[in-house]
Amino acid sequence: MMDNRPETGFETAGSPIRLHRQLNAIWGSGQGLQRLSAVNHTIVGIRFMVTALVFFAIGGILAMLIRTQLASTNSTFLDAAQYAQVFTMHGVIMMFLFAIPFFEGLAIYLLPKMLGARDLAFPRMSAYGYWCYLFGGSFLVAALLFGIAPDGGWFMYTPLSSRPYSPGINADVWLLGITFVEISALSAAIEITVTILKLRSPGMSLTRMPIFAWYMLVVAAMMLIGFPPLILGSILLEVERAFDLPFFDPTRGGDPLLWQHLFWLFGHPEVYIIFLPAAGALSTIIPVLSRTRLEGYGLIVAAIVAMAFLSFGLWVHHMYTVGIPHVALSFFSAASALVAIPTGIQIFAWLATMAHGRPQFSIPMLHVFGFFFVFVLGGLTGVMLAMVPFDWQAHDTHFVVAHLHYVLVGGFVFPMMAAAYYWLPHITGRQPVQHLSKPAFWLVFIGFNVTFFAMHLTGLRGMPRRVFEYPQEAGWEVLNFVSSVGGFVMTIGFALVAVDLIMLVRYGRRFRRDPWKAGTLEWATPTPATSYNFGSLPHIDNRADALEPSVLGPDLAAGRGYLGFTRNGWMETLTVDMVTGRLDHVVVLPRPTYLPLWTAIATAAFFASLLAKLYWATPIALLAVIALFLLWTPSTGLKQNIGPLEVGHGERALHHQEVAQPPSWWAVVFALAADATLYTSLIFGGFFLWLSAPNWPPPDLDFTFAGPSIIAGIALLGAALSTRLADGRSGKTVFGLAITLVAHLVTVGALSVVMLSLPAPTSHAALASALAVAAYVTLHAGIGAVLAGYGLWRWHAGYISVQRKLDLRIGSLWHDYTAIAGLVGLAFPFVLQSLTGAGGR
Amino acid sequence: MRVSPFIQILTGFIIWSAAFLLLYATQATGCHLGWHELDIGPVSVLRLLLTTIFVLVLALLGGLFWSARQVKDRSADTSETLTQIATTVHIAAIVSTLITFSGLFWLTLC
Ligand code: HEM
Ligand SMILES: [Cu+2]
Repeated sequence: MMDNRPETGFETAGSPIRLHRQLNAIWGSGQGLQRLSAVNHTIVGIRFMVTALVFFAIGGILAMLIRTQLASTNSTFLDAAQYAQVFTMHGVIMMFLFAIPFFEGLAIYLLPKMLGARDLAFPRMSAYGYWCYLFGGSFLVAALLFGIAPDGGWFMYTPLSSRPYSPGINADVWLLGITFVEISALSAAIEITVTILKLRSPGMSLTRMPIFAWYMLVVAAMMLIGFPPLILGSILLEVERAFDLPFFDPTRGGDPLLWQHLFWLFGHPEVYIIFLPAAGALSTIIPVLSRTRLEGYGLIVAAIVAMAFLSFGLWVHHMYTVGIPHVALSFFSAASALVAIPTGIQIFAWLATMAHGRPQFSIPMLHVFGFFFVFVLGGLTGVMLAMVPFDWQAHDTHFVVAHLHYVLVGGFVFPMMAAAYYWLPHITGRQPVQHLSKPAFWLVFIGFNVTFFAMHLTGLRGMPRRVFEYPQEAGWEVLNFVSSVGGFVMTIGFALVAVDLIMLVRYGRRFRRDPWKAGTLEWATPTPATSYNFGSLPHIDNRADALEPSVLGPDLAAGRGYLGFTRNGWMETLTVDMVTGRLDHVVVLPRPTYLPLWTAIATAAFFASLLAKLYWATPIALLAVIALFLLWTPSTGLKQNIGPLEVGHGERALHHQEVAQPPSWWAVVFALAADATLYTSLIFGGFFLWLSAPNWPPPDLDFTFAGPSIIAGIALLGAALSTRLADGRSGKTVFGLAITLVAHLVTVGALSVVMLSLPAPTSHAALASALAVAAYVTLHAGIGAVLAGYGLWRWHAGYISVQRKLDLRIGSLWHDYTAIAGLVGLAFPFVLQSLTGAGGR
Repeated sequence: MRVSPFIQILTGFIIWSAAFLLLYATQATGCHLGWHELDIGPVSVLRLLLTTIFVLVLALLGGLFWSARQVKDRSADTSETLTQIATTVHIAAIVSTLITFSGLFWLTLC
């Protein structure tokens, strides 16, 4: 075991080939069934992308079913129920199982290479995320085969998706399957954020980062804030369906609008979350193919930051017709129109880049052209729809369907095809054959425009979306037929693109590195990339999109950079100061392991037990998940202090276990930020119901549990304070952690009393929200107890000392958060009760 | 005073977001409790409240922007570019605030 041999010496290899052999022996991932244990970012990234493409094909087939059904009036190809499943699953697959995972895969594959790192910050997390995605996605597709797929539209509006109107398990499949997939997205978001902020090559300051990293940083941050409201909504709706707690039921103080708010608070940013990675790829590709540098780097960064915020402030533009006062509408309408400005800035920056350079009309560039044409048209109809009066006319017609596809296909699919042609030579080490590429592009492009241009017209003529048939008299048949023909042309185009890419992978010409003469670091790895990316890590002293990979590559492979040697069989990479890019410390990454797979299987069992309503099995699965996660930890500890390590170039840096803020500490900070977003949505949800739900105030509301609340409050504070005693010194550490553990258990007990003393939580949303908040706090105190126990165990196993107290610092973050969230949660029912005195409808 | 560049870049729009939530929540609460029907002179209590929040937010943003201009740390090239980015974002946030919320002067409140 590596932990037992903390020698700090290292061996230099002497020759590049020997270095390669030594590094590969450490970083390589095994063959055959051992592949299931791979955690390497190159492998996981490719897996994500390939799986996403499979889902894209499935989603595309469903689109063809839709177009076949709509090609003529009164068609009998699908019935209403089948059509509902087909269009819902089409939307769900495209949004959740294709678009997000595809760019995640691209980011997972590219980022470490672009930033000059050997892997992501948490390789096992990305492997776990992949399995969650695969299992969750397969749940959904399998449901389609059995005819129990979700059928309430991809936005699952309540009360349509509530128990009375969707009694089957179709809606549960959506709620549980999507939550499962979202876990994967959140873990990817944390992984990407921390990797970009910390795992760069020395010298790469924030402003020297390749622009793609900025884009992904913003996207990942948006995911951390945008996904929790949806996860919360899904949990609440599932709880309503399974246990009858009325959050969305208007007869018992719930409100269907709460679902819409939670959904679109996620749903609109989601569109930008999908667009921004594509824009990042464009900002990377366009300058290279135009033989120049990107114009307006700083302006673009400013634009995407502004865009990230603005895109959260306009969720209600999907809800213009629900009856919201004019002023409120004006806020959302203005924000919707404003968001076009940063988008425009980027478009002009790209055009300026092309104008200043000498664009080559290669295949990726053709797709870039496709992007410009289609996306700009989609943007224009978007600004139209942002205007309230027009939206009232076009709402829920095919005009909206046309708009959304112009934006999504223009803003994501075309850029990603450009990206595929651009980066496949990196992934495969081969260059395109390029006979089919052009016809394939034109078929997609023409087919797309025919299909969706016609939909604007059917929409303007009043054809509603989500209808499975329409009468002859409506006069929509010709346009629909045209649209369907276009759809099939486009499908043939996509099939040709697929064939073309497979040809490239199979028969492309081999070549050395950097076929496009790009200036970013990923081209300094061998292609296809080695398991460890770089034989040694560079020092960056220029903007990292203006490097010379052809010079840098061989240099790094020869071990002339940082860490150009092996030590203790450790998988080592470097971190830097977030802003300045100064060398910070050495990270030792975990070896390949089956644990992510097993943990994902246990997680799948958890969701399956909920779906099958085998509630007795749920706690067992949950315990298994926790136990498996704890098993991840032994391989990441150090049992001795080792002090600064040699990293090359005469510099030294500490091991990550011996520093105050290593990547895992930051990961917990970001995870708590996402958690806090979820919690804030929950608290605001409670107040939203008080404000706007019908049937308030609840009949004789009475939250009389001051006693247990006070006990829980004191215990929460006690846990947070006592953990401060645990500073890595013997005696104090055990004492502090023991008090923390006991205090958390007291909180759990006191809150259980509170939850049991709530009268009939199924009778009214006020009681249900109080229960939900209490359950949230209880869960956090429970996890806090596990963490305190974990700290005690790590102490006894010798992983903790005054220099090595990372485990304690992470625990401390958790206990502090739990104390704050807990006090808010304890106050919540009392505040709600006093407010209900102040009015209701 | 050295402020983390992340904070510099993010403050403008964090304030914009906070103002968004605050104004939206105040508007909804006011309508719920009938503040739009209580008049103070020519305007309702609710409109007066919303306008006050709006002006305060603008003043806050303006003040931060002004104070950021005073402390310029032009030591390294990193902070130079970052300061430039932060300034651009800040101006964008001020403009966005003006545009997003100006409807509260003249539109129906409830
Ligand atoms: C491949 C070509 C595609 C075709 C022919 C197609 C066709 C359609 C049609 C006809 C509808 C309307 C269904 C209805 O209202 O009854 C629809 C809905 C939708 N599509 Fe596509 N689509 C395609 C690609 C995509 C892509 C790439 C995405 C996203 C990345 C996407 C996302 C959606 C969404 C979110 C809906 C709304 C589903 C709902 O109303 O619940 N589509 N599509
Ligand atoms: Cu939107």
